[in-house]
Order: sequence, then C-alpha cells, then structure tokens
Amino acid sequence: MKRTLILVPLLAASVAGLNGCSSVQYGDATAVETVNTDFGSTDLQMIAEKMVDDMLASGAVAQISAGGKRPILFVDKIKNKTTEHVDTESITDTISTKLLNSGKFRFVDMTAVDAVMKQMDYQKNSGLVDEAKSVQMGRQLGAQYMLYGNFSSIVKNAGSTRDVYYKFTMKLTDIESGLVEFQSEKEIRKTKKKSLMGG
Amino acid sequence: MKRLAIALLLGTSAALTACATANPAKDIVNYRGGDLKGTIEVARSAVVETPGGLPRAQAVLRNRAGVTQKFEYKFVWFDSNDMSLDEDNRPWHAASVQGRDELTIGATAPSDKAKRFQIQIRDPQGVTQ
Repeated sequence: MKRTLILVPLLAASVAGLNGCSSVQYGDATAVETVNTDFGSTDLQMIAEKMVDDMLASGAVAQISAGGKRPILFVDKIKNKTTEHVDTESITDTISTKLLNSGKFRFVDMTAVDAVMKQMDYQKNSGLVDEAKSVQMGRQLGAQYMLYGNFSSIVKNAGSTRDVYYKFTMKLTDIESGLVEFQSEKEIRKTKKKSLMGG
Repeated sequence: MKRLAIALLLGTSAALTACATANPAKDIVNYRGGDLKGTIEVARSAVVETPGGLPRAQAVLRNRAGVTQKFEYKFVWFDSNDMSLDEDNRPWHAASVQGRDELTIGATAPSDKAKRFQIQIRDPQGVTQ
C-alpha cells in the first residue's frame, strides 16, 4: 500500500518531466533534411528544381512555347519503381506549380475531371442554375503535351553502411505526334554510416 | 532586346564580383551564417541565355582551405525592383568540397522577370535526427 502511494507520484512526475522535454517549433521548409536515407523533402525539392530548370532552359520546349503560345500540358503518373512509398503526385504538383508560375505553360487537371463533370451536370440538369449564366458544354481545351516519368532506386547495404541511389526521369511527349520533345534526369545519392555508438 | 538584357545582367554580375564587399544584399554571394566567408568563395561566374530565352547562372565555388568544407548553398533570383522571385521555393543544397578544390553550380531563372542572381552560402544547418 505504502509502495503504491510512493510509486504513483513518482510515475506522474516522470510523465510530467518527459512532457517538459518535448518541444515543437517551426523550421525552414527548404532546409536540408538528412534524418535518414529515405526519400525526403530535400529530395523532392531538388528533383522539382532540376526538372523545371532544365525544362525552362530547353530549346525544344522554347520552340513549342514560342510567341507566347503557352502550350497545354497534362500530368500523367510518375511510375514509382522504388521499394518505398513515395507520393509522386506531390513531386509533379511542385513541378507543375513552378512551370505554371513561369508563365510559359498551361495545364489541364485530369484529377479534377470527375468533380468538373459533376458541377457541369448540376448546372445543366438540376434546374437550380440560370441557364444563361451556366457554363457551356464542349468548350474545354485538350492537352497538347503529356508530362510523365519514372522514379527508381538502387539500395545497397554493407556492414554499417547503407547507400541509396535515386533516379528521377521526366519526359514531355507531343500527344498528337508521339514524339518525346524533352527529357531530363536527376540523380541523388544518400549514404548513411552507422556509428559505433548506434547513431 | 533580350540579348541586351542578358548582356547587362552579365555585366552587373561581373561588376558585383569585382566589389564583393560593397553591399552584401546586392553581392553575387551572400554569406547567411557561419564562418565560410574567406573559405568558400565564388571563383568565377557567368550568365548565359538559354535556348528557352531565360538567363542561366553558373558559378564556380572554390574552397580556399586545405581541408574539406561542408556547407549549404542556394540560388536566389531578383526582379527589377530587387525583390526575390523564388527565395522561398529554392531548396538549400548540401555541398562538400575537398581542400583547394572547386565545385560548379548552376540555376535557371524562374521567369523572364529575373534581373540578377545571388548565391547564398551558409554552414550546414540541416534537419537531422
């Protein structure tokens, strides 16, 4: 009985002490993240930066967007061939954001097609929307180019060393002709050596 | 017109390199913390017009020390009002240069509003375990 009375306050004090040690703070989202060798925010940002830099600098891409044409693109899947779960849509979202902000491209969002069709159906068939002010059917613009790619990795472990090699490949294909107009790659190597202290 | 702008950008970059201590905010390199000033320097830089029509900056960073230096860098582009165009969106890159060695880095401007660039350098401040 006495022991229980002593242990309960001790346990409570320990929990309070542990809570006191934890802290939450905001940090720089563009900082270099090396928590482990898994795919991380810095990898995503470096891939997006390289793809956009190369695409904006490309002569072939300059030709298709010459004269303020602003070609229409759609983003297809990036095939994740790594053993990790990677949200590749997040990578393409960052890439399309930067390309859109460059003022040289326009996008159609295929992930929003169902929602758009539902809204159109509501405007046409619900009887609640003024027909004169509802959107016109059959006026959407089709994409001229498709952005897609692959994401792969090679992982090797030897003793206390873990080496991860990532390769991201992106292609821009002319939907009508089937020609690949642009292609770029980004390679990333991350190595972790476990210290004797277990770090 | 665009070629003239690129030439002006190149001239400005060269002039900024020449008077590197005049105004850190306008220098071609901005040391954002740490003790790297005088150790990691921009040996040479250039701005070229890409086939896409946007300026592309290239720079050679030189490690003046005799030992390997680890640091972080990123490019920032500024518009005609000297406001940064992409500072929040450009990631910091981890870099490691051996003693007396050089590293070539580069970046394309995010849009044709870019008038000058700056390389920001700092000590490693990565998010680690």
